[in-house]
Formats: sequence, C-alpha cells, structure tokens
Amino acid sequence: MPRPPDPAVAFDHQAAAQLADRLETLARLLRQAERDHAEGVAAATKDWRGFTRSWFDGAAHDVATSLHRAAADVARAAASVRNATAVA
Amino acid sequence: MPTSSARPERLAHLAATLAERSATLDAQVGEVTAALGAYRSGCPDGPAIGAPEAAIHAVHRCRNLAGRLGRVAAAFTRADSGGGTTVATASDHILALSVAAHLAGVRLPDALRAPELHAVGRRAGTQLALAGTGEAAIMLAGWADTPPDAAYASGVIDGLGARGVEAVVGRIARAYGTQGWGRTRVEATMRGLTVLVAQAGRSLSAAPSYRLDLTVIHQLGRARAGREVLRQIVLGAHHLHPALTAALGAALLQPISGPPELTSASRMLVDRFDQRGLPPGLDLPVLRLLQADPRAAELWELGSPPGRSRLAQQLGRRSNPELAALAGIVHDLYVAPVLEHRAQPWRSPLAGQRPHGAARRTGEVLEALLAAVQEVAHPLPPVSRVLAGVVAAHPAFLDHHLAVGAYRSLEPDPAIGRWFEVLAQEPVAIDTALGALQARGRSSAAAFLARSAPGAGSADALRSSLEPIRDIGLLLVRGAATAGRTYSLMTSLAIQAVAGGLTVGGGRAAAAAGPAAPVIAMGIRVAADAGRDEAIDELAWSDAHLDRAPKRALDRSFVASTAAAMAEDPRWRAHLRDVHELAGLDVVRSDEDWRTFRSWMARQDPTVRDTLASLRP
Repeated sequence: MPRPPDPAVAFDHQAAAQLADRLETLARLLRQAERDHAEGVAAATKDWRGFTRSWFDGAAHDVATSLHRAAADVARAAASVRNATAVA
Repeated sequence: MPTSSARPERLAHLAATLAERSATLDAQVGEVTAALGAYRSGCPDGPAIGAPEAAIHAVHRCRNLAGRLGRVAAAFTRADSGGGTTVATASDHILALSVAAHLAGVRLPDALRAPELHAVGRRAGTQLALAGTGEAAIMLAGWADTPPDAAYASGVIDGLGARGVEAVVGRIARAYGTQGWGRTRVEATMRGLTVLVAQAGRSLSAAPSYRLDLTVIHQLGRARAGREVLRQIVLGAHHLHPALTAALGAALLQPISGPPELTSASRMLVDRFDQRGLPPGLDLPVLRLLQADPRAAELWELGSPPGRSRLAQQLGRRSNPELAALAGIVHDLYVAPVLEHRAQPWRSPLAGQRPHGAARRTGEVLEALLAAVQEVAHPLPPVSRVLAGVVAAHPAFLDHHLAVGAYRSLEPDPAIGRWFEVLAQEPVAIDTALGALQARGRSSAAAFLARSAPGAGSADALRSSLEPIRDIGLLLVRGAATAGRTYSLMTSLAIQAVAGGLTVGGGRAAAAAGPAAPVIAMGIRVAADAGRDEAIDELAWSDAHLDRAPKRALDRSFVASTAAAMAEDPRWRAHLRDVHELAGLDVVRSDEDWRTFRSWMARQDPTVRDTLASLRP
C-alpha cells in the first residue's frame, strides 16, 4: 500500500530568515545597551549623594533588569525561528 | 541641613546615552515588527512568535529614565551652591524644590513643608499643562510608582486646572491610542493621574490653604470630555477621601445635555472598561465607590438641592446592576441607621404631621425606590435585601401605601405587590421581612394588651391594631407565590415559629415561673423532637394545598403569639384558664395541635376567647 504524501507545510524561508536576522540584531543591541548602561551608571554615580541618588538607584536597576530580560526573550525567539528554518 | 551632590555633566551624559540607545532600539523594534508581519503570513505553520513586548517595555524604561535623569541634572545645576566646580552641591531643601517642580516620582525629603510643596506642585502642574505629550506621559506615569505628597498633588491639580487635565489626557489618548504598546502607555498614564488625584484628595483633611479645590472636579463634570477623564480616574480608584468621592459622584451622576461624542478619551474609556469586564456607559464604578464609603455617600446625598434627593433621582433612572449599588447606598443611609436606632424612622403624612428634613429625604428616597422596583426586570440579591430592610426599618411607609391603595380601590398599590415579588427572590430577604413582621406583631399585641384592660371592645381594637401587619404578611405570601418562593417562605415560618416560642417573654421566660411558661414553650418541640430540617419538610409539603399553607401558618402564628403575649401580661393572665394545656403545642405545623389550641380557646373567659377568635383564620 503506497504511503500518502505528507501534507504540504507552508514555510517562507526568506521571511523566516529575515525575521531571525532582525531578532538577533535586536538582541545584540539590547545586550549592548545593557553594557553601556552599566558603565554609564558607574560613571554617573561617582560623587552622587542625597535623596535623588536613592531614586536613581531604583530606576537604574529597573532599566538594567528590563534590558536583560528583553535580550533573553528576543534571543529565544530568534533561536526558535532558526530552528524551524532548519527542519522545514 | 542635609546636602546633596552629583556631577551634573555625567548625569546629562548618561541621559543622552540612554536617549540615543532607546532611539536605536525603537527603530530595530520597528524592523522586527515589520519582519514579523511577513513571517506570520509566509509561515503559518512555523512557530508562533509574539510581538517583542519585553523589548518595547525596555525601550520605554530607557526613554523614561533618560528624560527624568536630564531633569535631575538640570536641577543640580540650578541649585548648585558649590561655585562652578564639576561636583554640584546643594541643600536637600533647595534641590527638592527644584526637582519637584519638574519631575514626578522622586520621593522628596520629609523636611519640606506643606505650603512649599503646594506651591512647587502648582509650578509642576503649570509645566505639565504645557509639556509635550511624551513628557506629560512620563511625568504622570512617575506618580503611579511613587505617590506624591498630598499638598504637592493638590498643587499640581491647581496648576493644571480642569481644562489642563482634560487637554493632557486628550493629547495622550490621541497620541498613543488603545492598541499594544500605546495602550500600555495610556494605562500607565491613567494610573499616574488616578494616584495624583487620590493623593490630592488626602489634602481635603488638611489646612485650607493647600487643600484640593473641588471646583476642578465640578468643572470637569460639566463637559463630556472632562467627564470621560473623571471616569478614567474612577475606574482605577480605591479608598478616596470621602469628600472627593462625593464630588466625583455629584459630577458624574448628573445628567448632561448634548449629543454623545466619540472622542479619543471615550475610545480609551471603552477599551479600559472592556478590559475590566464592564459594559461601557455604566456609572457603576462611581456608584461602587459611593457604596463602599457610607460617609462619602452621605456627603453626596446631603449635597442635593433642597427637596431633590440625588439618590432618589438616581433610583428612578437606573437599572441593574447600577440599581444594586444604589440599593446598597439606600441600606447604608436609610435602613441600617434606623435598625441601629441612629436615625428616625419614616413618618407617614397620614399621621397628621408633614415630614421634615431628614424624614422628608427618607420619604423621597423610599418613594423613588418604590417606583424603581416596578422597573426591575431581573432582581438581584442586594435589591431584595434592601426592600426587606425597609420592611423592618420603615414599616409605616408600607402601611401608608396600603392605606392609600385601599382608599383608592380597596386593593393594595400594585407597586407594593411588586415590592414583595422582588423581595421574595432572595430567601434571606424573606427571613428578614418575616422576622420583622412577626416581631412587630408581637410587640403591637403586647403594647395593646398592656394599655387595654380585658373587656368589651378589646377584640375589634386589637384586630385593628394588627390588621396592617397581617395585610403586609399576606402581601409577602402572595409575593413569594408569584416569585416561586413559597417553600422558602414556609421554611422561614417554621424556623421563626420555633424562634418565636423562644423569644416571646425573652429572658424572663427562663425564670419562668407562672402560667406563661407553657405558652412560651409553644413551637420549641418542633426543633427538639423532629429536628429542624425534618420539621420544615413536613410543614411545607404535608398540606395538599401548598398555596394556602403559608397564609394559614401566618394567621396561626399571629393568634399563638397573641396568646403568648396575654400570658405575659399580668392583667390578661388573670383571665386565662388551663394554660398548662398549651405546653408543647405546635400550632403552626400541626393541625392536631391547632385543634387542641382552638379547644383551649373555646374554654376561655369570653373576653379572651373573643379577642383571640377575632384574629383566627
């Protein structure tokens, strides 16, 4: 008995590759921003004292955390698209 | 005095770097979003990839910090007392005033006095009114994270004014819309505005010089766009100052003329209502705020123009679920205080005295409730319960309407009939109403017996005094039948027959001695011997004519409780014979016991017999 053909899988390799490229670029920019932010914070907080410093420490930490989390999310999405491209 | 220091140029440099990075990231997010569209249409079988929300959020954080950091750098430069070195130094006090005028969300030192905070808040408000959309959004969102001081917040609202508040919200709504990232920014902004107004409300307990001017709220309420802003505030508000809640209620709940207009703010409003599972156009959030705070509801109601209760007007205009919230307010303002003896009950105009002041307002509200009840299509438990509460707190109100109805057509006012239909939807409400009726019957009988010596004419006089109570009881029976709640009513009757036996005579029953004891024990056997649930079943289903059973049980309970009241009254007790025969009789549930009771009645002194017989079904 001949095996029926597999159903056609719709997958535009070019669109997937373009998305993966752009996600990887975004992840790289996010990681770069995180590094720049850490350096900028170190420089800015030298000689900074008083109530505004307390506010800044909290706000700067939030920015660092959100950049880090976003970079990881975007990198995961890029890897998922690359993986799908490889098996499609 | 504590001082602050920093290197302003380094702060400014970091702010510029953050701004630049956010622009780059924002552009790349745009690239990803465009590629995502092509991927989704070209690869429907590929893995699902969502929008880069985390990256969008990070860009927002970077841009926000950049803007705020730039302002802190500028504040240090302005406040510097260090003579132009690279390290700027300033007293905390001066720096705080400078920061607060330009920046939201920074916790200020405690040393600042309220008048200073109010003044600097005004400056911040003026600047906010003139700020660009992005800056305004950042400033408002900052207050969501760090609530400002009350005096400062009231200053900001003063500085903005009604038109400023309306304009800022309108600009932000138009710029960001209601989708995706824009919606996130709008939400953050509205949270900030709500926190700002809530904090400003706290100043209403403070000195008048920096108290929030509630005129702003009234002015916003006069225009459709301003009203929509107020609704946005109310949607996320909790625990506001009572005077602020009352002002919001007054501003939002008054009718407004002119055609509806779909502004940016109203589209945003629809979206935010939808997210909370509320149909748009309802005033439910503000009604719930009023309901949650009786002090605010009272202030709102007391602010009514003379002779025109705000609550009464709303009752006539609303339907469920708003009517349920209003029922809660009626309960808190007009039922609970009477039941707790904190206010006067309603007085019937038929009593020969026109109601004044609070009594007139109570009358207006109850009249409106009566009118609203006729329109209630799907009763909710709160509405049923408040109607039962009125039966208990304002019995004269229903007596009055029964009398008026009977005068006109010998039939009760149809609205009163509807009242009991709606009431009977809820078993707890049936319990409350029945308990109130029976307690009133007992106390009326006891009061009558105490002032009337046994003799000719007692029967007619007693029947007249109990007639209105019995009529209301019959309306309850009829209402329960219409609502399909006869079984609930019978359950209540069975339970209350037992409870009635225990409560007649109160504490004196325990001491008990004397002929009253057996009568007081009537009904107790039901619970003791059969168990409550079994007794209820037997009571409710043993009668072949269930529709007649509640009326019969109600009548018997009136006669039995009057006999109990006679046994407790010294003058009437002297005329009773063989009281011990009543021990353990269950006249409500058992036909056999009822026959025993009637046989006992037949052997009484004629005065006693005629008086009880006049109440007999």
